[in-house]
Amino acid sequence: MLVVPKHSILRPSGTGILMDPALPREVQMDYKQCIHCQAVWKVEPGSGKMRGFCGKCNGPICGPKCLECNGPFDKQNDDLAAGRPIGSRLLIGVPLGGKQ
Amino acid sequence: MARYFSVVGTNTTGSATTASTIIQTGGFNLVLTKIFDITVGGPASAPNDYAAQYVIQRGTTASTVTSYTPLPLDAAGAASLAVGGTTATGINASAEGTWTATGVLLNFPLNMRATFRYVASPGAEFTNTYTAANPVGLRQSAASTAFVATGTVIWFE
Repeated sequence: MLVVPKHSILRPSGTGILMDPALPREVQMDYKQCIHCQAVWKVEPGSGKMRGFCGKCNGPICGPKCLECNGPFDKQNDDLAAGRPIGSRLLIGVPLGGKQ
Repeated sequence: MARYFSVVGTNTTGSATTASTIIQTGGFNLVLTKIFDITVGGPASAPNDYAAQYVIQRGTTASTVTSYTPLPLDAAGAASLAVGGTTATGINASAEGTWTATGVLLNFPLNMRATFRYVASPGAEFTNTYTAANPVGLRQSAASTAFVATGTVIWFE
């Protein structure tokens, strides 16, 4: 398997495998995933495309369109399923009458 | 415990001018389908040097498709909650739904002779939005000439 080192990262979100008869062997590419919208992109150092990182969600973001933080996508889905406003905070507290 | 399912489909309505849905997964607000394996290629016959672009995309209105009941990878497993239906899980759309322009999750151009496979790392799968009639689809978004594409989508729920 041909791995292009320039396009490889330590912890990829996914791997693309291209099998093309025009190539001598299959090509493998690493992808990274946006923490906010789940879009993925091929790792291309020097591509000039603007990506980012959300410090609140502790994950990469795909670009300026995902700058606004409503929490990780899975958390947004949990909010939808629970009928909460998207981006609402989980309140973890001590039950009334419980020990402080 | 997660249950694994597979859908295999083609788009016989493949067109050079309009996008066509190959596979639509209908988790909607029924179940979270976590797509982790996608394979796309050309047809088994008449290969040629045509090009097409494929996307995994979110939608807000389901397409009209040929119903396809997801096949459990465990032959003795329970049925998928993303049930087959003409406006649910299915293949080969005859009428396109509403697909979100900013909801493209994976985008790859491909020669008709080539095959592409995407495998998500654990925890980085493509999940449907937990909302009624919001599908996730494997689509042929553009092509140099009309041809039929074949795809496989595997998910767990």
